[in-house]
Amino acid sequence: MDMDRDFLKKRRACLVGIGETEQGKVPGKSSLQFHSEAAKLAIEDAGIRKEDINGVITAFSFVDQTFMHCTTFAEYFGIAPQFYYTSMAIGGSTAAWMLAQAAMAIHAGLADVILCVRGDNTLTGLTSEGMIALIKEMSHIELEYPYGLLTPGGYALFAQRHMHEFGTKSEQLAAIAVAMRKHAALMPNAFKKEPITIEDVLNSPMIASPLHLLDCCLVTDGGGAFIVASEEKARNMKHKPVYIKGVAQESTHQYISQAPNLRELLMTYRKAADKAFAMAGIQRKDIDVAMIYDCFTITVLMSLEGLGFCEIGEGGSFVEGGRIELGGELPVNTHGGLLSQAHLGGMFHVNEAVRQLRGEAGPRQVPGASHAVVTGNGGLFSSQSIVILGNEP
Amino acid sequence: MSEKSGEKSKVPVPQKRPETEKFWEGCKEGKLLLQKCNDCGEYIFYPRALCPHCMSQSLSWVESSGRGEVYTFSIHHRGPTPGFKPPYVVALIDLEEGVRIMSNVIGCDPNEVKIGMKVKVTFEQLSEDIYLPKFVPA
Ligand SMILES: [Zn+2]
Repeated sequence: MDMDRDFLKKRRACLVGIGETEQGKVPGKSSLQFHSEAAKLAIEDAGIRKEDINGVITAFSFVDQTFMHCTTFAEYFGIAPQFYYTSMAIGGSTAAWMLAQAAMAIHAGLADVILCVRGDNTLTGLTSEGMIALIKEMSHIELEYPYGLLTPGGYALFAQRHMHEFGTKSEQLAAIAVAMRKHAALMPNAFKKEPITIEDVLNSPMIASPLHLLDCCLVTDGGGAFIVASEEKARNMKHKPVYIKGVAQESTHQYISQAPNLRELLMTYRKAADKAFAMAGIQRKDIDVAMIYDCFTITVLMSLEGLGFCEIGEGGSFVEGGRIELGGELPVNTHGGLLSQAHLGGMFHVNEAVRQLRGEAGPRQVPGASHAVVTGNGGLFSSQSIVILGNEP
Repeated sequence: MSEKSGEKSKVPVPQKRPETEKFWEGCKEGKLLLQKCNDCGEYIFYPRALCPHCMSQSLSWVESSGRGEVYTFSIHHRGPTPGFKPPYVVALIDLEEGVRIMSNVIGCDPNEVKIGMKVKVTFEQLSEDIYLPKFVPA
């Protein structure tokens, strides 16, 4: 498809506000409470009134499932934005794609200030039945789930294949978990801050070979929100806007047994990334910091290959030796990611990119960061969202 | 999906759907049935109402050789429900006919399972009606 690579430039969309609640184990709060607290913080951060919002995008809740999530939230929060509403459910691919949806709505003139919000009490609010229901959702109910496929197992299948084809090592996957933990130690509200070593990862219980416990993301409570506005509206807000410059999405399958072969899977990712970079009008080398969806360590490794920061098959060596840590060639998930900060389907990846591009990341700041890439991964490599952000138009 | 079954309690027992009824009937007779498109000739798995390659609704059921090889696998050390006894192997099997199927590799030490390993189908009874295809070393 020849797409209009300039559509984002015709009526530019910017991130103007971010909010995130307390995270980790936060008992006694409902998912809508987390939504509301995060939304309030984002509105205050943008320096606007809630009446200024004329679009709402929500995700979904694992705990409080509601048929029409966006309107459920809007009513609870006390807003009735005219006239862009949607709820999205593409798993971990949702948060990054909220940005694209918001940019499209702004481009179309349907709204000019859009609140994107997600929250959940997944750690303290989800029953064991709820957790089983979640696992079921990730696998084909009739032809995968009866074999006992776990969510980590779905990723493990491609981790195993990656090791077989490219010689990728468990130590290399572990280096990703170690890097995320180092970054989380510098993040005030990260859930897991105690340092870990490669040996700690390798010595943690095997969940689904070759993935150990510490190769897997956290389960946490929390809420996150961000506000996307037209460039025109953004000019009068509190912070220097962060621009949405390139977006792309891809999918090859829903269920992992139906995924294409590993190389084909990664090549499809690469083609989408090429489109996002072309739309943004920048090169890979222009990216200063990368927020890569990290539900599992292998997701980061394969995403770096898919995005084109290294060749397919070379992700293992790319993540070694501190190259994805602060001070390295490409700092990844400076907030600690899903592996160490908190899990809210990638909302915090967006927020950290904004802090980095505003120069507000404190001890985690990548000096002079001007471009960031944010990714989301939904299902079992089932949906990839790629968004490129910049602090200049 | 019913969680109820007699002897193997708490192992999920697949519930037939319109598209898969024939498949499960085949399993009960010890046959691994695949769909084949009468128009484009492609094999299809999992069973569905039309060909995902060409949209044809003219599909036949054919018996697979039941032979294949392990594309990839993971030894699961936890199961989603108590009915699963870890460690067990979840694998993606490339059948000779060219389609990929998820299954368990049984009948050997999980540590013996390797990518590229030749396997063949067997059936494990989960309920009166449901025989789940699994694979053993060939
Ligand atoms: Zn066909």
